[in-house]
Amino acid sequence: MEDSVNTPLVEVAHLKKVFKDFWGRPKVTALHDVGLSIHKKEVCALIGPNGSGKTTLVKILLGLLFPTSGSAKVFGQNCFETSNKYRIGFLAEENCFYKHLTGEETLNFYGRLLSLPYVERHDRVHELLKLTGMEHAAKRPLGEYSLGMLRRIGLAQALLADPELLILDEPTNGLDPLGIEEVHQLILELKARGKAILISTHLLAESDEICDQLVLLHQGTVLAEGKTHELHQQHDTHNMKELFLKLVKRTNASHLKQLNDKDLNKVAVAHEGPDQDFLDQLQK
Amino acid sequence: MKVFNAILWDSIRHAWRLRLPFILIFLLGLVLLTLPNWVMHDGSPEGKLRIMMTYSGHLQIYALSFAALFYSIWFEKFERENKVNLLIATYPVSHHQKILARLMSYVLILWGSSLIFQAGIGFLTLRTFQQFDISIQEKSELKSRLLTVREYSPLQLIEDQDFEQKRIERQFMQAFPLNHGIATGFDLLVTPQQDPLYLRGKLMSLQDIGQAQLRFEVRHENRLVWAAEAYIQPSVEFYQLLPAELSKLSPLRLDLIQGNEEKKPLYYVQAEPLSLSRPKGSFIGNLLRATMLSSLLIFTMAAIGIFLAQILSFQGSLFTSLVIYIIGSFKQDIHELLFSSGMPNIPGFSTEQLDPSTIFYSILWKPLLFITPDFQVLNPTSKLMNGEYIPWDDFIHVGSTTLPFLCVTLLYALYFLPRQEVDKRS
Repeated sequence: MEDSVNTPLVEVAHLKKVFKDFWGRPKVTALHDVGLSIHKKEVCALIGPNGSGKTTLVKILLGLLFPTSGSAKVFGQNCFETSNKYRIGFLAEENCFYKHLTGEETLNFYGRLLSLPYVERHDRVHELLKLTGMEHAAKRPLGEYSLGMLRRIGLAQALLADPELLILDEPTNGLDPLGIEEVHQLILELKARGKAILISTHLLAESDEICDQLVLLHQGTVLAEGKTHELHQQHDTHNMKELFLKLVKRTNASHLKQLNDKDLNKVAVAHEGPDQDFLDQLQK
Repeated sequence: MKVFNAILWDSIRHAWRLRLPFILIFLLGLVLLTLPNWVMHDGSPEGKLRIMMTYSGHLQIYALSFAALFYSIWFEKFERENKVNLLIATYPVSHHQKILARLMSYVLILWGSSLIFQAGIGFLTLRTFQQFDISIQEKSELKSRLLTVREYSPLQLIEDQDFEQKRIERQFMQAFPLNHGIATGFDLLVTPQQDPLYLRGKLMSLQDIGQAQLRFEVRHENRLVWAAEAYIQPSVEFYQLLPAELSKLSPLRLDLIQGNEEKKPLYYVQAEPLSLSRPKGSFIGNLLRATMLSSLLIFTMAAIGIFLAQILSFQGSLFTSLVIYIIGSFKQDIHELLFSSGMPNIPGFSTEQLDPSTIFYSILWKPLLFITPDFQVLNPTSKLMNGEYIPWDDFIHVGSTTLPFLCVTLLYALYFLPRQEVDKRS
């Protein structure tokens, strides 16, 4: 039993993703030497500013993008294995739904894609509509839904297969404070039921409240990874905002240290001539 | 199968909510109602009916094929824009399952619309007859014939000799493949009553000669029963009366010989043996074959649409598919336009060595003709309306040009799509 808990559901090592242009030349390095592991009953938060590579990592785990190098395994298999897809629930950052379907029809459609038997599907759809508080709008087309309602239906869709691993990309995006609280409670409830959850978010407070583990991404690299409380102890911080800012500043400073005097001169020349004050400022 | 059904019904539901069948039926109905007022007819119910059926039948096929094309391309674009394909890709759904279900759904949607439209035609036909001053007995006979949609058919009406002015037209030959891409469309028309037998035809294209001297030889059991020579110009219809007693002979064979000024045959083309007896086939069988041909047309158009939408933008795929459709539908006419007009009429002059269009012909046009599906054969309306037998051979001819498109689409889904990043394509 202990072994199965210790076996990571998600295992990423030395992952690199380079987006290429039409001619195959490297354009953007979205991820560089990223590693993480998520076990059962764990809530892991991928935190980072916009463009830090969170969604790219999520898409690689879902098999929507292929890694350039390194490995990304889910349930011990390659990410694009079809059998994995029955065991993963995914809530996309954007609301990617057919607007002509009603909430109930949407869940039924995705239920059929999972090959759920009719009775089980029917019960599950109604259970999830109730769980996400969308029963009242079940018969309305998604085109008429608000942003928050679409997130709720998205969450219900992600839970359809009763997945072992739940990947939520900005789950509280567009929700009101009450909705955010409900989603947090739901995540904790799912965690208690033994699910592993990966949350990609740029809302730092969110990860403080519900996550056991953190992966701080900045410009495609991992700034810090580990248990939340351990990271706070290690860096002498009290909340996520402090921790994040501290780490980002430190990284920027170390980048700056790598620049030698010649580089600094170049920067200074570019900044209206060799200004000693400006050089001092940069060095500071 | 559940996945296949889910995508199939979702596509149908989507089309239904978009009111696609209603738009199709409305447009076709509008044409059907206004057409008899535009096109001249002899004023009889038969004339009016014939126009309504012939033109609306053709329009229906065109509308169905364009709807298949447009909807398939548009739906792919819609999925990409809304990123629904990303979410579906996280489910255990294979690309070929998705594409096959989509193709099937387009055929079902469009045939559903077509059936409703056909029922509408049946009702309208009944109304048309009621407007004319014909006897009550005739009316009741017609009514009983037209009351059910299944029973109503253009072919039945045309086959009914009393109704169709005792005249049956039979087409025996379509295109003769001659050398240098010359295609002819010769029909041997037979009117079995007092009218004489006559040969009607048109040379669609003459690539290296301004006019052709042709010799026609009609044979019965290898015995020459009639022969004639004629100079034929491209695109000009050729009529030749034949002795009426020939209609009693069956089967007949028409040999077409093309000769130069010295009357030495350059090309000898032998047509298929002609048969004066109409191939036996029930209307239902004919209708079934026509339906299968039209379904194949919709299937092919949708496959072209889906395939192109995977690799091109919305506008690009729409433009490319329309080019394919136009070339496939008007192969002979475009060929004639490109290679017949303005050719020098000098005996013995070969344009092959000099004309740059020949390079275009062999490098681009010929392969293009080869790979585009023959949409003319795929449109069975004319044959169905003329009461002509639709042979199974048509499927072999059509299959050889349409199947590659279906196969390429499915192979692309089976082997190439899984190797591509889904997000990149969106």
